[in-house]
Amino acid sequence: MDALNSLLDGFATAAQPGNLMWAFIGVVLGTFVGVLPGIGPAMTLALLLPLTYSLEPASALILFAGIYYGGMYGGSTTSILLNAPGESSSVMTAVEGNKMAKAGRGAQALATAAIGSFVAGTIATALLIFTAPLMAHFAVSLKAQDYFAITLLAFLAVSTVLGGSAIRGLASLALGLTFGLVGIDALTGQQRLTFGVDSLSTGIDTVVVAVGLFAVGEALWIAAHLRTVPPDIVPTGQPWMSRNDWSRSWRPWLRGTALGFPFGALPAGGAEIPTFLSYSLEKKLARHPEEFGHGAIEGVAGPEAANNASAAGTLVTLLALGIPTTATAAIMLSAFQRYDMQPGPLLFENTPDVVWALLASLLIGNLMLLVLNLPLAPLWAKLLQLPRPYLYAGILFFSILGSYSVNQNPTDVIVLVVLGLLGFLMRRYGLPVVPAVIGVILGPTSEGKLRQALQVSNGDWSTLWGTAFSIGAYVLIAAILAHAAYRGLRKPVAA
Amino acid sequence: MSELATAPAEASKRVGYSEFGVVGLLAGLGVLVLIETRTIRESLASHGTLGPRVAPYFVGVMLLVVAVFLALDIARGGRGEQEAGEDVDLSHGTDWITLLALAALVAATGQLIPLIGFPIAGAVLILGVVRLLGSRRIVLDLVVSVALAGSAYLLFTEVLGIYLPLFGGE
Repeated sequence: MDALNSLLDGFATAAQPGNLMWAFIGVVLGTFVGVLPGIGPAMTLALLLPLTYSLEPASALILFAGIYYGGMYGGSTTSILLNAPGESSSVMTAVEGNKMAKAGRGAQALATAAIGSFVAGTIATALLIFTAPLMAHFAVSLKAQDYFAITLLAFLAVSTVLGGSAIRGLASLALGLTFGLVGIDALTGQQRLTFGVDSLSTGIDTVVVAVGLFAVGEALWIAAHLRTVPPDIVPTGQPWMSRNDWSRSWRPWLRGTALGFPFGALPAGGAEIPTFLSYSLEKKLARHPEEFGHGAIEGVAGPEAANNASAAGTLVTLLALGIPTTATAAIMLSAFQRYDMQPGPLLFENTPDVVWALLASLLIGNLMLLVLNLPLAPLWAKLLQLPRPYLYAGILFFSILGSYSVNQNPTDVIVLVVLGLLGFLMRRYGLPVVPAVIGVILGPTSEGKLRQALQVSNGDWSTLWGTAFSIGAYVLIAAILAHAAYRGLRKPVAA
Repeated sequence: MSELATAPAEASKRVGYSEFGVVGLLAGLGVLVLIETRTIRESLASHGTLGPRVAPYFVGVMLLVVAVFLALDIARGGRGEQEAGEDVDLSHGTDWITLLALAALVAATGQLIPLIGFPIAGAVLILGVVRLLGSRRIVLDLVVSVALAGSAYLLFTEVLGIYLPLFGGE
């Protein structure tokens, strides 16, 4: 097996002390930000993007992937002990998890979440290791017009499938595409949308856009609506499970993995849809469906597994096609681009050492996470008591650090504040932030692929639908648009 | 926005009007993009494929079209769903003073970094934010501000190799 040999080489690289250290720092930091309210893995990666200037590619990517996986573990602690999930991927965990905690079964809820995450993460990462190279191999045959169609599909799926309102998702996407255009055009060298401002000619750095919309926008939004009553945290002990809990958990873990992995790889991926599906599936299959709504362990085990498996699925599309399906993946793509590495079919050929080290370190990081989360869960739970003024001061502080360090330019901090205020307005008026971030990062790629396709065809636009693959993609796009239009006409979103 | 709780019906109508602000923002940006795109020069480098104007024109038109559809949605009673969260309490209105003070503080800190250095500017920011958000333990606030700004500076410059100015005026 070719993949197996490459994986062994990957393990050799990942097991070097330096890389082990980055994986460890990544999973600790990921759990940390996953537990903390108001901050998640996507925001953390955005804040740490400047590290790509000083770290080796393998180290930075191992760190980032560790944060991604760790964030998925940490999020469950918050939603179980505090009935208010921060990340949308933990919404379903909170439903049953918090009920379990209130009924004195918090320890079992944390255990099934952590062990389920480990099982799902390990299986899904193994699937990732074997499917990503296959998919990359297939993707070599894709042409520029196929990629252009995939980027359009990703834009529309991310904007219209998730969230309550398709039109607000598209508005967010349009804003992101606009920011992505600012700066010097890659092909012609012409300045675009710089409005004569000098510091805009190099473009608005991804760090500034992502940190502004995610971190500053979130901190401003929460600060302006800060809860004055302290949140209601359910105390808990050491996670453990009885034999009965095990026998009720293992099937939901496997079913959750089976749902999470493929949905993570889809353009409208992310964890929302598979965690929701897993919850309803477990409710249907449960031997005691009446327990649902009162703290059924299956309702924690399934969605938590789905949520972790979807992270691995997301990486398949990111590594093999270069298409991000979630905000975190979009920022990882941006990290690759900073190293002049283009995720996609050639990634496995050009930089196999980095990719395989990354994949191997995911397996290692997943094991570290189990060890970190099972015995230490009560310790992590203490983080929930962090006084909020310090938490949000810290987020704003690191936002400035990240965006200032990119160009050493105070003007960037002004742009950061403007984008932060925009992020505030988006949260106020129900515009999702993720489409904007995907638009900024993937927009220039999309234009590049379109130009490449037209160059090959000598300006003949019919080349865009000249392949079977692109026709398939456009049919899907039409279906998504029709569905969104139908939904929009039937009922406007209620306040 | 303190009337929000006392007169919910009237308030929700007013909030409804403010939704059109988003329409204005999108449409305004769309017009700006279209005007600015006219100033982009065509170039021989893009012969045979898309020139530098096509994508900005497309995005400008997209902004306008989205603005129109959003206006229709709002006119038919559609409302944006405010984002919830662990620390978010939507039952009281927006605290505009805190919001604007924080935004001004962040912007000012960015301008201070080249003048007085990152550690001091960072400590001032943290202290300012925690006080604005209601922390009233002055000694702890001071210690946290200085310790966090100082240790983050050391970590990022010495360990991670990211440059940040130590003192101002360099």
